[in-house]
Amino acid sequence: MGEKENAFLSEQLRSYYAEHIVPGVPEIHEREFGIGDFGKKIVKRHMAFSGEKELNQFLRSEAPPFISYSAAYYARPSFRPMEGKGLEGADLIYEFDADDIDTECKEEHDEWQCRKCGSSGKGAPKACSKCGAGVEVKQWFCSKCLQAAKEQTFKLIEVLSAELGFRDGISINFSGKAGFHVHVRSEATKNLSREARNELIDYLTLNGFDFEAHGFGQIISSGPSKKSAILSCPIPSKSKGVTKRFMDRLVSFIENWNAEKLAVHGNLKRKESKFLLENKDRLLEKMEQGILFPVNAVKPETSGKFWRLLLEEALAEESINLNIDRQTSVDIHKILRVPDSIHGGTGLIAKSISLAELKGFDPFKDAVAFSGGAIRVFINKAPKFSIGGNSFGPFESVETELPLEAAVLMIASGRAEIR
Amino acid sequence: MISMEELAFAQKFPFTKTSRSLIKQLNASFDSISEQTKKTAVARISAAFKRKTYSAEKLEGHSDLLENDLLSYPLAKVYLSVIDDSRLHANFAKSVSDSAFNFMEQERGGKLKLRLAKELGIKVDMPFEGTFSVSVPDYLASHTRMDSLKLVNQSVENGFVELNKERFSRFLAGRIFTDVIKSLPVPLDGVPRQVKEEALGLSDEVKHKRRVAFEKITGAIRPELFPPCMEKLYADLLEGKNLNHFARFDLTTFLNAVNLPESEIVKAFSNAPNFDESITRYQVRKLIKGGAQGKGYSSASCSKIKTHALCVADCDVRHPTQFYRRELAKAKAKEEKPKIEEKSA
Repeated sequence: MGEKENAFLSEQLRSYYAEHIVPGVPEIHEREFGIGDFGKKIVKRHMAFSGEKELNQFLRSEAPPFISYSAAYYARPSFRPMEGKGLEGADLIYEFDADDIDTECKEEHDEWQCRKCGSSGKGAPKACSKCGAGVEVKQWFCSKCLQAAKEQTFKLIEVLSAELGFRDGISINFSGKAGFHVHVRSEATKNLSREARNELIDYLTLNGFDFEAHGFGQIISSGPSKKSAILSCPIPSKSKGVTKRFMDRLVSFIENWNAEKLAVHGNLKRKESKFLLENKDRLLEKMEQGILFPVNAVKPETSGKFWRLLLEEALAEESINLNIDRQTSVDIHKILRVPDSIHGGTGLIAKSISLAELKGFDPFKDAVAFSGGAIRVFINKAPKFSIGGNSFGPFESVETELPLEAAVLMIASGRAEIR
Repeated sequence: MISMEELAFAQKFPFTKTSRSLIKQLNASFDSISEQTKKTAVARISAAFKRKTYSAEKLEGHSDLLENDLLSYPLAKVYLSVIDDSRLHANFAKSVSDSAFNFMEQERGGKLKLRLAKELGIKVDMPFEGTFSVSVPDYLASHTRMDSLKLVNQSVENGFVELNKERFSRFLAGRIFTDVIKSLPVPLDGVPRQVKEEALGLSDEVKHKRRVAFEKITGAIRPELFPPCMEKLYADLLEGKNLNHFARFDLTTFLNAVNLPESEIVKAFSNAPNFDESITRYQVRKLIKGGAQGKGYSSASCSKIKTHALCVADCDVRHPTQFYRRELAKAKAKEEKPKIEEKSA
């Protein structure tokens, strides 16, 4: 980003903060703050504010592109080093970033270039399709990716409240770019140890899920060999928590998959999967009795393998259902965007949202900080996008006039220069 | 007058409020510690060092012997606090918690377990016979290493974890472990010099035995050349610190990748809190021989280790084994150089 662009964005931030109050975070005087510039989200830490007034005075005078605060509470938040701050507990925090969720729309709006051979293309692969080397990905985000992040956020909150019992003190905010942050603040969670937080993350991501511990795979009756044993499962209607989610998924495979899908995922012959579907009701009836029905009467050893494969599939699907950034949640000293501050990489507000508002939330309408006026810019490359109720692009090496909110988005994301 | 029943309870569960209250009533001082009490305190620590459970003698009907036995627990803690060895503290906590678990398992009903829960400040409900329900935060405060006891493997609903008798006993044992570890070291103000010297004598013995055991384990592997991340994990393990799931996975696969034999990997884990040889052997074998083609899981790359929040330095490598092989080559080259120079001189 050039000096002109830097100065332009700084001016916009300053005028935003001059006219808008950013609500202070809970227990603000116990939090460590950090700020970033247009090149890096965190360039300075160990800052502290006594209250909302002092925070906003700082924002008005310095207008930092990024401002973050700690999940942790400290006796001396501005003390250095970290060990001397006097940790007094921390919120639970979870972050969902659409950049980390595999969505089809990435093929439309993300672009990659190989660092080694220079090949390029659409999408966000992990490696170059030509030479296998590392790639640089230019990411964008759209309403589809955000929808995926929203679904994960809803799922998380459902698990936090219905299973873990953390109903109080949950707050959500848009990250300002491509995702959402969920904070849990309560006396019950404030003093959880690092190990306990790891356990919670393992719970949410199903890390360490043990089939036998949940009642799967115990031999109810066995034939001539272990391979022909009839295996147990938890009873779907009596299951709770993770077990229930898992059983619901397993039942849904049986109820909804066609013969081909069962054959592929369960390593069955077509004839075997057809037999299974013909006996679907009996299968489900047996599951309700805690039994995994032998799917092949002639070759019972096929049954064990089939159920094992389906269990693995259910686990894989349920695991990616909550694609949580582990690092954010286990690092007790992590600092995260201040809700309702501006994200310097987009110019959007990291808006606080209620659970009821989340469903209909559209950051390109509801988190727009700037409006009015038009700015002449040269855009290098940008996919089609919407902001403030209007659509723009796609653009490639073109000079054009954009309304302020669109110009800020283009410039802040490094795709345009001021003319 | 202290009842025999309360003394017997306190003897079995010396970490409880009941026990602390009885000890206070005995009004003992360091001057009045009997040789029998000292001997029992040493026996507790010795059992801990050998990773065995200290079995309290059945002393019912002998209140004076029970009182001596009771006093041996805080004395053992004083000795441990002078020795100040976190691995030994962890082994001691495990010895105490295992002993408590064994007593709980002898009970058919839930009365004893419920009493222990109350002593530990844990609120428990019994929605059905043989089912115990504790809050999620209370469950998380209990230390446990077994995969079957991870929260993800429990029945969790509405903020409560439902446990059967065995799992409830293990949960309580895990909490006992956590509480005992947290209670060490104890303040040493007012502890007479003689008591401290007795403890230091024990410390020398522990250090010597441990050095001998360590030398048997490491063999040809050179831990001093490990990358910083693995060096830290290995050191933590040998010190008896608890490693989380990712740390154990990454360290085991790394040790396998640098050709430490399976039996030696299991031995290295014997220093871990809550060590159970058969479970550890099973888990290590699963990692080094399991996987899709039975070739074991490959050891984690640096980027994976960063995701697991275990990276501690910027080593300019992409894989921990790359670091180790590089350092091994350098060290060998350095060691061989004088020989070459001697030959050519």
